[in-house]
Amino acid sequence: MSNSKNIVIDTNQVKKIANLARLTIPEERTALVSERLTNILSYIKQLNEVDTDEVEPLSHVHGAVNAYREDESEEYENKEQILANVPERSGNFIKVPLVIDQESH
Amino acid sequence: MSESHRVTLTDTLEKLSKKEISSVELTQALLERIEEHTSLGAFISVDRESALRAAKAADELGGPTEEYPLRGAPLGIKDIFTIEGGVTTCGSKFLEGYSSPFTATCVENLFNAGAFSLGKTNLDEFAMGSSNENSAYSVVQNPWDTTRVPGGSSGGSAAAVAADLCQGALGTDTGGSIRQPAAFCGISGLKPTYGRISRYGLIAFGSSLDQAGPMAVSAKDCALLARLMAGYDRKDSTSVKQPVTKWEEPLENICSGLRIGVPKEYLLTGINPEVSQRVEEAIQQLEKLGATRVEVSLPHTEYAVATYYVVAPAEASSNLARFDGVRYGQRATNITNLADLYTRSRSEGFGDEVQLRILIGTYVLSSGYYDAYYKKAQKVRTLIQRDFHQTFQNDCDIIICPTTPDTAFGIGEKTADPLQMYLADIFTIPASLAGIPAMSIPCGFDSQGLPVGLQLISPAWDEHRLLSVAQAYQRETDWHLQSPK
Repeated sequence: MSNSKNIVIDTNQVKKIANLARLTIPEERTALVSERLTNILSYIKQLNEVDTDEVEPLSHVHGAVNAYREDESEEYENKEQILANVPERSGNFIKVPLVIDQESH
Repeated sequence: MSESHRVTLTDTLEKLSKKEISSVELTQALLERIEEHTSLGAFISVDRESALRAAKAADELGGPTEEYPLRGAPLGIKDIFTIEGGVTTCGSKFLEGYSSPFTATCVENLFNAGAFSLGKTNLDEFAMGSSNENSAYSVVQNPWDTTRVPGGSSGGSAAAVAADLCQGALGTDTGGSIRQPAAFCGISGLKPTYGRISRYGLIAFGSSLDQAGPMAVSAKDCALLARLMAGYDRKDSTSVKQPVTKWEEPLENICSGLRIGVPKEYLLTGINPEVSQRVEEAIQQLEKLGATRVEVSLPHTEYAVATYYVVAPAEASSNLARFDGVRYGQRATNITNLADLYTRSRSEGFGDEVQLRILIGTYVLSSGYYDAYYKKAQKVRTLIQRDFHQTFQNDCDIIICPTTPDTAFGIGEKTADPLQMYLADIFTIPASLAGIPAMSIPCGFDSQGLPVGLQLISPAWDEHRLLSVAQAYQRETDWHLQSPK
């Protein structure tokens, strides 16, 4: 990402990003979304001004690395309450359209 | 502008324990007020029957005790916390009708202390927003001026407490979503140290930033609620084992010799001068109590908003990937392949702001951009945190500043340009990035009668001192006891 170039997110890029996020932006909104993304990402570009050469990235505010527990399983009793939210069910199975199909991309 | 002496949660608990009122009377009165004020949009759902049942049970067991300090107290719960068997929507169409099989730990802690839910309060969708205009259910109005926003994302909880629909409510704060609505609505709200209160059952937006916290009439109310919510939870891997004491019992003489840091970078042009004036008066009030002020510097302040709007959307894009229409939530109809199931369910279920933030997050995490954006932002975040560490180590004990650059804006005023909305979070974002505790308490009004919020920021784990200073201020002033007409 170069300092000198301006960030522009055009409508094609909007479509690419949306596809990665499994979203579709309706045709009549793409221009607006493109403008908003361009503005926000241009604003964010100022982070380049900060000298971070010797600086570590912060992912946890207190420096924690991992939280371990014993590898023991627990029986969960409430399965029906979980499955009650499934949009389409068949017993304990969740129904979805075909995953593997000649046309799928 | 100011009206009756507002009743605090602490007052109410005392009346309950002395049997001056019953929980059923209290709950009925609150339910009636909620009915009378539906136009505020504060509640997404009201659990009328279960609240009255819980109130009756509380009365039968007797009022609050040492072991059950909240017995009989009805609370508003932001609709991002799960309650078993109840609906949790996160203010989104996507989760309309979603019934959780478990209750959030911090909510469970309050229920175990004797409290119960009045209902789920309104919020910006998935906690993304600063005005509560992004709810899929309704806009929330500020009780001080119903043409204005209550702030967000915990706008429903803030409006509910401000309009006396409840004396205590739960909110969440990722970049200011408890503090900013508390400021706009003239109430007290606390964002604790990251890791202090369990996030289990708090539907995730930005996992390295999200914190649950209380919003109530007084700092003492917040202190009691927060210390009951707090505690290590093995079901939250970011939960930290730290001792919790009775924060509602303030440390004595806390202001004597207290060094108040006033960050020079926060004295920007663009702050409403009436906000600066109210904050200045508050600092003078604390100086009367024995505190001294020190000018301090947080040099990376100007990069805080940019840092946040890389990190938070990135984490949101990851956290919201689970909403795919497969296992829960609204599934699109007439779909023939899996890709469409995901894409259409999400596009139909998520509002515009949520989709925008997912797109930002997806972009900054994508191949070729990850280092330049996300990793870079994480490094700047280290520097922002370091600014606070150094200031607290060398210069001051507590930082005091405005919560927001201006008072509540009009509904619809900032919706045209999301970036303008983001920039107004300048004072609340830094403490979130650093993971340190911060709260907003009322410190006066502007000439239009709109509340001004004072922000107090402390080092990590220093909630007792933070809440003690706030309580000391509220002993000498009565801004927090003012109600809108």
